[in-house]
Amino acid sequence: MTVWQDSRAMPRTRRIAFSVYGYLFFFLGTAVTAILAREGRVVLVLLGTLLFAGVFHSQALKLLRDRKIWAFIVPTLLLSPLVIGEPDLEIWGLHLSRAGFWAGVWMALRALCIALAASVFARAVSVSQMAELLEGMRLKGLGFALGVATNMLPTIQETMQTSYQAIRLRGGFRSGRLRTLRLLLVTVIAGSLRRGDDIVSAAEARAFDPARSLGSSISVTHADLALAAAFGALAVALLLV
Amino acid sequence: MIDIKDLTVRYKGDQTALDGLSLRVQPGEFVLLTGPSGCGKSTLARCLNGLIPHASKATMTGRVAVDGMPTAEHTVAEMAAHVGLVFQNPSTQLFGSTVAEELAFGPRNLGLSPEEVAQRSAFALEATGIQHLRERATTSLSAGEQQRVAIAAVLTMRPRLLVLDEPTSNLDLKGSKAVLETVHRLCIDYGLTIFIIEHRLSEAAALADRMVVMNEGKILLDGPPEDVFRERHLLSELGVRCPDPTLHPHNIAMHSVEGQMQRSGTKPLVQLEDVEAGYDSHLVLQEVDFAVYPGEFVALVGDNGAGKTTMARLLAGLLKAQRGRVTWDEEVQRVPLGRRVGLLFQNPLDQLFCDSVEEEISFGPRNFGSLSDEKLDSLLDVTGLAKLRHRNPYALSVGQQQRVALASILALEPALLILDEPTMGQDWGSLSRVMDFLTRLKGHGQAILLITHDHELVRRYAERILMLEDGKLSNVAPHDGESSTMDIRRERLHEVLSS
Repeated sequence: MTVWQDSRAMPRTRRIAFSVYGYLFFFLGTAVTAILAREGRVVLVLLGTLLFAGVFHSQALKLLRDRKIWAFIVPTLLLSPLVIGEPDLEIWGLHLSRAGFWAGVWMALRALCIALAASVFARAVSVSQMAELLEGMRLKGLGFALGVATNMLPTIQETMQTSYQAIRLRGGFRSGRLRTLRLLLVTVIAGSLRRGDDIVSAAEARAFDPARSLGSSISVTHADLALAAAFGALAVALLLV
Repeated sequence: MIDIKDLTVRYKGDQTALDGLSLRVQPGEFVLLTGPSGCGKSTLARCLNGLIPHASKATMTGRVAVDGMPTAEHTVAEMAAHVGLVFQNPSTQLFGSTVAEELAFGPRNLGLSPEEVAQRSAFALEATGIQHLRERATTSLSAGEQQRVAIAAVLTMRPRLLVLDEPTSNLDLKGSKAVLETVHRLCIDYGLTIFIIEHRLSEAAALADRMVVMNEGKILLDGPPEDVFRERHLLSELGVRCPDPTLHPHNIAMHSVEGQMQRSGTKPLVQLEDVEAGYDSHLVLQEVDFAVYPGEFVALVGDNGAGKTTMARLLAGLLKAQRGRVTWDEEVQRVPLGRRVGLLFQNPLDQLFCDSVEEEISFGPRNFGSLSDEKLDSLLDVTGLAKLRHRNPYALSVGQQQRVALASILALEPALLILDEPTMGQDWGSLSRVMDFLTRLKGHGQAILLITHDHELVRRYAERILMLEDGKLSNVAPHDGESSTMDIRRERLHEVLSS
């Protein structure tokens, strides 16, 4: 039996309390300011993002150790001097562009800002909070669908694995691989749809009505408003200065 | 509490699921409903909370009233506050990411205040004895815990009738006992009326006041379990199994030792030596040493999460040992993977890929270039699928689907056949027929490894029993320690049956 150690499931007490809205403002605000910030100003946005992540969700900084993010950044830095701008420099026989190099750097930093903000949002907001947020936005049933999808993912993954192993043991991939893949896909989809019927029955048996929004108990805090105001001011400053 | 008069339910295609059924259940009764697969048990459960006729394509005639409310005249949401329905598969009835959120789902749908939601959640957690799970993520729970959370979630609706549709079919003995003890406590301590559908009767019958047996949409037997079990001949004809008075964990342990002694000196089909295996860094099997011999019927038992399925995947070559050796008989080693080991997974629908039974069975042999019409006909005959050869496997009953999946594996004539929990959704009659057929296969030198929680099945068919506990093999059956209410009542039931 595994013990749930994800901090999302635990109650949090903090002096500056952001709600789901606060983290949503942070994510959207970072994305907008990172796009608006020209050249070196993107460094300031990145520093701000790192500071926020370090103070409020240091776990989000684990992203910097993720190989996938570097698998995007490193090629961007390496390729941009080769493909962007007029070549004005030659190193080891390669014709490079200084403008292309800096464009690559700013592009990589912007991507890092947005990825970090997304990481903070994903770690700070649980699926159910996200679902409640959607319900709060009067998106009827979408929050419920999100919760179901999250709970169903492991089951669907297991079905896919079982079906793949079953078809492999019966020599499915020895010939006609495309046909085998089609058969596999149909089996997985049919199984998921069948489960979908069971889910609907179980939800209805607990008085769920997709036409009626559950509403949301999440309310905007002072910290959320302050954060939204700060991002608003920053965005205006970046546009005007 | 339940008042059913002349209830008839027909599905599309005029298939009659319930046929003029009448039943009365008093408040506070613990009723056990059983019968062969497809006899209408689940349909009846769905009628009790109004899913039929309101949320189903079935047509219903007759009258169903629960807690004085006619189900046809009230919506499913209205009935939800009177009838709680717990389904077979916990994974399709949990919607929250944590247990606390799961419990709040129903009351929030009723539009209750946050205080009332919290109060009801606290009550449900206490009544089911799972307060310690409150903050846990639903995906991190064991199957038994998930099912208890599903019961607690239904209890937050404050129903007076709790209907459970095969709640223990995916659970090990420990999980089943925990769920049934919880249900029994709800009946005794909180006066809830319990209506439980089960195939595995030994545990549930020990707790029930009344047992109802159905067949072809009608009630055949109705009375105290002791009286119903006396109708052995009729139950046997229906494929309903009577609890075996001789079944006891001690007998299983003895059985295991005897079986192993008989096999000493024979060349093994496959041998595992000091094997460790798992997924990524998570080690599931440790220090595993055992062998399977040609033509033997071995059972592998153990709790949920003990590593039984990992063992099956390891033997089937779908998972590699991280340490130790898996050595096959030289001759068998040469044949391709799928012909060396056939693995029947738990859910037949996950392993059916073709549009007809015939295509499904010939799929494997065609891929391996060993298709023969003669063999196909013979296999269809012995598995009782000849009449269904042109039918779509998806249109068959669960029992028939399981037989198609089995036949499609047997068509490859594997040296070792592994059955991973073949009991799901199967009544004792169809299960026995399949097992009897498999027993005959042993005559051709095929070895069978049966993975199951069903001790009665093991007792009846296995020559040797292996027990997995926390990834390690043991030959000693565990003892549960103190006797629970269920144990005591089961012993009493067995005494009556023996006499």
